[in-house]
Amino acid sequence: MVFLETLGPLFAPMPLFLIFIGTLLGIVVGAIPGLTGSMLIVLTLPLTFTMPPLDALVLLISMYVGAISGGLISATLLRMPGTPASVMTTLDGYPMARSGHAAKALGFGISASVFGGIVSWVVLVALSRPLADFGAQFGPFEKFSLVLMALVLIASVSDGSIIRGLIAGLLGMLVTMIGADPAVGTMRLTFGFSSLEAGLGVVPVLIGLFSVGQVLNEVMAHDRKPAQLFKVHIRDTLLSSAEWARSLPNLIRSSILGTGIGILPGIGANIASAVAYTLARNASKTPEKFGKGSEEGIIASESANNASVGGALIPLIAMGIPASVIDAILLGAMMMQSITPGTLLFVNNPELVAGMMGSYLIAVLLMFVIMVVLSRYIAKLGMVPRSRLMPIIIVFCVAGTYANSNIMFDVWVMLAFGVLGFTLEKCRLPLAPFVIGFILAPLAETNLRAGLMISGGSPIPILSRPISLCFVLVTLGLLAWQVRREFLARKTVKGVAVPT
Amino acid sequence: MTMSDKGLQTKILAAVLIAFSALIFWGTLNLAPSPFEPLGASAFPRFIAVLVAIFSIGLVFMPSEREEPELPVVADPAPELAGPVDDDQVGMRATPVMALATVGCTIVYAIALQARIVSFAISTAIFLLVLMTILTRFNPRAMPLTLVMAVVFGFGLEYVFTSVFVVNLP
Repeated sequence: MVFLETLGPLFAPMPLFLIFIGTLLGIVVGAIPGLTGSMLIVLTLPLTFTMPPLDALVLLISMYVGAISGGLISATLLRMPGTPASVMTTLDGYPMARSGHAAKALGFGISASVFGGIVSWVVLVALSRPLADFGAQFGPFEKFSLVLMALVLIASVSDGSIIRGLIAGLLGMLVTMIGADPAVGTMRLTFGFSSLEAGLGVVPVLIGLFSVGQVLNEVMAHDRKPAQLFKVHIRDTLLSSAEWARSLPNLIRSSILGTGIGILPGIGANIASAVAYTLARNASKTPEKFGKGSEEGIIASESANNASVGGALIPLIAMGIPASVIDAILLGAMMMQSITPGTLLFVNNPELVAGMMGSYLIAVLLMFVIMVVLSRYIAKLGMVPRSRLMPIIIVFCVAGTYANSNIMFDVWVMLAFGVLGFTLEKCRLPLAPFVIGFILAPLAETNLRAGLMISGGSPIPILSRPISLCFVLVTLGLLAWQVRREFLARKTVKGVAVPT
Repeated sequence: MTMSDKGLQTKILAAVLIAFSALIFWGTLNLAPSPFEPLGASAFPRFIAVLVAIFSIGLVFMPSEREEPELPVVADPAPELAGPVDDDQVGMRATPVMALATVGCTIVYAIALQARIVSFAISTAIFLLVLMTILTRFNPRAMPLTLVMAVVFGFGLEYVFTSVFVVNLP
């Protein structure tokens, strides 16, 4: 019954229309190499301010679902993974397409995506409320330690060394401290510039980092001639009952794995896909077929990466902890709509929670229909050259940022953060911890300061309260494990000839 | 890139980060302590600035940062899976000049919008025309399409933003 209740708020023309548009746009953007789901969602943020909260979140969640799924199309038909989450799909999707089974390769991928999405939706609906109720027991010190743990976890699984991830996360935290401090409103770090007193807005910073920064990366890259575009017949993309039956163990395993990995902060669809692929190969009776057009490889990759989306929504809705960059952007969108995730959201706005969960399911089902019907057309968009696309995206960045606040200062902030994001990546400082730090720092600071006021200035409760202590221990364990891993990797590398 | 290049880059990065931390620390020095709560507005940024400085020093001395062999840098998630490089009609050169040109054109575009010299549609059309021309390497065969796209998107986007999404434009 609780599962059906999630669909109730969505049976109106506008939410359904927005889910369709969001899913379609997400798929298109996901299918075009160089464009990312983060880019689409941050560019859409300014347009959602005037929408009711449910409509805004429904649209953004649908885009999230579509963007993760759309990468499958170009990965399979063009040999170009539209998103990093579909890289593993390319390994088997394209060889299968090349061997004359393009529709079947797409069919396995699309069906696995839907299966993974539905499994993670079930877990999302079942787990969110209990997790939110558990989170309701958290006081300020627990919330502070939880943010700390999320930040360290994200830093430890980001590209590069943990020290670079931590530096990026801390820089993100520093950036958000410009302007009025969240506890008593004292102005700080404005250096005499009155424009900085309002702080740096979420929209210009995110658009800069993820859209302008990405554009600068893309104009540095070569345009590539896509490989041959295969013909796809709709009826061939639908799996037979025998194909479903033989794929079922792989589908279940990979979907549960993807959901579980999605719940963990910072790991996300890319790693879920890679881990599920490796597990499927190890469990396969024909591991030699992996990388040469194995349906098991496509199924593992696609079911896991889609399942991770639903998994990632669980800590976001239940506790306001983003599990990935897109979730951090969604959290920013919720904050801008004055929505606070957690158990009170379930009590005060049950229709909003239900709508978010329901929209995820409907987007997954719509994604299936759209991809079966339109894949062959969407794939052609992957051939649009970057030289045409990127200038148009810049215009969207400028117009979207200005529309958000009606001040040109934000456009300059957006541009500055575009260059900063580009530079950070060139310096191998990952963007994911930066954004998570930027979004979560006010939460960490507010809770620490509130906690210290309660405890009379003593930080001891961080270690004396059991749940907080658990988070601190996990944080320290993660740090120790990651540092040890880097030192061990160093030792291994020393035995290998270093290329010059 | 050689390992010594990499080590130098890491040192430069660390120096910039330490300087930035010092700036933040300096920026918090004149903040008065709060009478209402123990930490005050300056403690958190100071603490984080100190952590950034410490980690930046650690960056220089971490063995993985000093000795790790350089792996090939790739632009795409799986470039070996992609097709051959398209260097003909509308291909872009893999060069920082393109990124600089993009930033430069965008700055001029933003200045034009702020100064309200011409309308959003005209500024946008000119910006698209110039940047697309640069990114297509001034290829004369690409010019007609560039011109059409600049005009269509310049005026089309103004219509979409003002009439469909009903948002203000610069």
